[in-house]
Amino acid sequence: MEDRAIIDLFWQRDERGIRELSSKYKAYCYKIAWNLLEDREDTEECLNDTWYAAWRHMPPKRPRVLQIFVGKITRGLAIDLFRKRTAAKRMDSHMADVCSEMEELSFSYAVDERMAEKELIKVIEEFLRRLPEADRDIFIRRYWYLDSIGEIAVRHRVSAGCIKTNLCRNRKKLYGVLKKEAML
Amino acid sequence: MKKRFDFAQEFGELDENLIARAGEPWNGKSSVLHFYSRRLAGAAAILILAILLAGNSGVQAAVKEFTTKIGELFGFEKDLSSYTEVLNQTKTQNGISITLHEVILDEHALMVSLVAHFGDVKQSPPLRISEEKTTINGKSYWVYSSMNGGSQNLELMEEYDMNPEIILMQCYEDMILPEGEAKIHLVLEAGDRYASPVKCYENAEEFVYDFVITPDELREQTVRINPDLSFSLGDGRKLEIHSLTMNDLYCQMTAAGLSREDELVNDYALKLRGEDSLGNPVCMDFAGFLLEDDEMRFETSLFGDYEAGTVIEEDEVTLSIPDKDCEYMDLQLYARKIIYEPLDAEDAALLEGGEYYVKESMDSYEQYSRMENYGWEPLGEKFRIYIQEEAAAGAVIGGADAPTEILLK
Repeated sequence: MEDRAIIDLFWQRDERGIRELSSKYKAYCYKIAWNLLEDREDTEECLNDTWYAAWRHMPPKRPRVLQIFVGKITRGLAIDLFRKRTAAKRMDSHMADVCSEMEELSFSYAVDERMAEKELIKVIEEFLRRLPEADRDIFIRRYWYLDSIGEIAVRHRVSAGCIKTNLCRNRKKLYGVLKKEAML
Repeated sequence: MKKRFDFAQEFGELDENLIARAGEPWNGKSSVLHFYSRRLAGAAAILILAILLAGNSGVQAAVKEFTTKIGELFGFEKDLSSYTEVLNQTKTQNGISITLHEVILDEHALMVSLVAHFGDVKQSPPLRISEEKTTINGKSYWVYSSMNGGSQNLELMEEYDMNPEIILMQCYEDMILPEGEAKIHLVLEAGDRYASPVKCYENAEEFVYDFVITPDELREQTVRINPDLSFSLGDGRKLEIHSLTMNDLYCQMTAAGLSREDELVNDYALKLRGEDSLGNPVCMDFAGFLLEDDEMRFETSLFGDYEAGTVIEEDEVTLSIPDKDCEYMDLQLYARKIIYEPLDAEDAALLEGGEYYVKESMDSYEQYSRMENYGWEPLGEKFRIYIQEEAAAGAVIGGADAPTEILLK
């Protein structure tokens, strides 16, 4: 079914929309959640939450790209679930690495004098646009799609070490930019 | 009031176009990434070398007369003139002028030498051969490695009276050239290709050169053998040498025995090092896997075995390329643990001018001392590989009871 028709079903509060959405984007969302959670039960839970979050958000939202819209929801829910799991000492995933890498880019800043979060994401986008295409792809695959280092290495036909190095370098550069913008 | 910037959550709100692009199958030329650090470290080495040579008249006098500009810049021992096409074509647009001097082509590499003038600017924009638009006999080929030799810091070049020649090279894996002339449609790009994700070449000027070149002579001089040789890595595994290709410009070898997932491949830099029967030093870097299978590729670098530290100190330009007419080569595999932590980089400087790869954590040689052999440790057995086609064979030196082992840390 076309994305537009699925969105129309949601707007008409027709529950067939959830079925169609799940049928069309389950594999896509499953991979995003699995990349982080590596647990079938947790991943299924995350996906169910995704469909109901989509139900809550449409309407009023009418996403321009439905796939990205649900992908964003899944990613956010997976991170939440992963953190809960981590807090409950169930952290057994190699993807603890990706969270720890992303944690390197998190920081506290004074809101009254500094840039709002919404603007910081613009800074990140500008940073990514200035990166070479391959670096940008590697960065987004790792931190948005939450791909493992190995998967990215295969995608780019380079060694995992090369990907690690590339990510490490660009995290450091981005942190420098964010630091400057937020005047930490 | 303090607020927390949660990257993991905020990054979820990334621009949809960026997410969508990364969601598509990757068809870029990422393999070049593998070599950025070492190639550019090499370029830096060439730059330093050029400065020293320029400042040392004794050394200048010792430099031999080269008949080609490519041979001169890289210090090739052999005369390359018989298969170097001299073009001397100049193209000018928007104040940038590029004179294409020489071209060398075979089925492995396209190498061009040029001089560029950029008007009054002190730092030239990046120059490259367009992978997408350059065609050979009407077809573009998959490029697994690109190299850029020569300095683009015009101020520095002027100060040290450095050779303004720039060498650009692309290496191909799957190119098959028919006999006779090859038609080259060469597109050079000068400028920043990453100015915008929508318009990749927004600030780049294109310079197009059409010409024909005959790669037959270089092809005839190229030695290709399939040695029946394997050697122990010292941990129960073996590396099998499948093919060897060599001429005056490069030496390339393929081998099987390690997978793409192997720790040695991912966490260690690898190289084959030794000398040929004529006493020439030989160094072949591990240069990734072949496109379609798990065969490893080792090849000589145009920047030589610069980490040995002998080049600059002894004022000798040594490419570490074997003589194709040698009887045999004695080689040993060396491994060095890659250091992933980046060097302290000046972030602001890195973000300007597109020089993202100047400081690179893979330049591990900066992390190891000369006393430590720059971090390189021998791995497994030494072996001998015979070059004559009819006697293409190999032998382990020292026998199976004399393996050298290193522990993977």
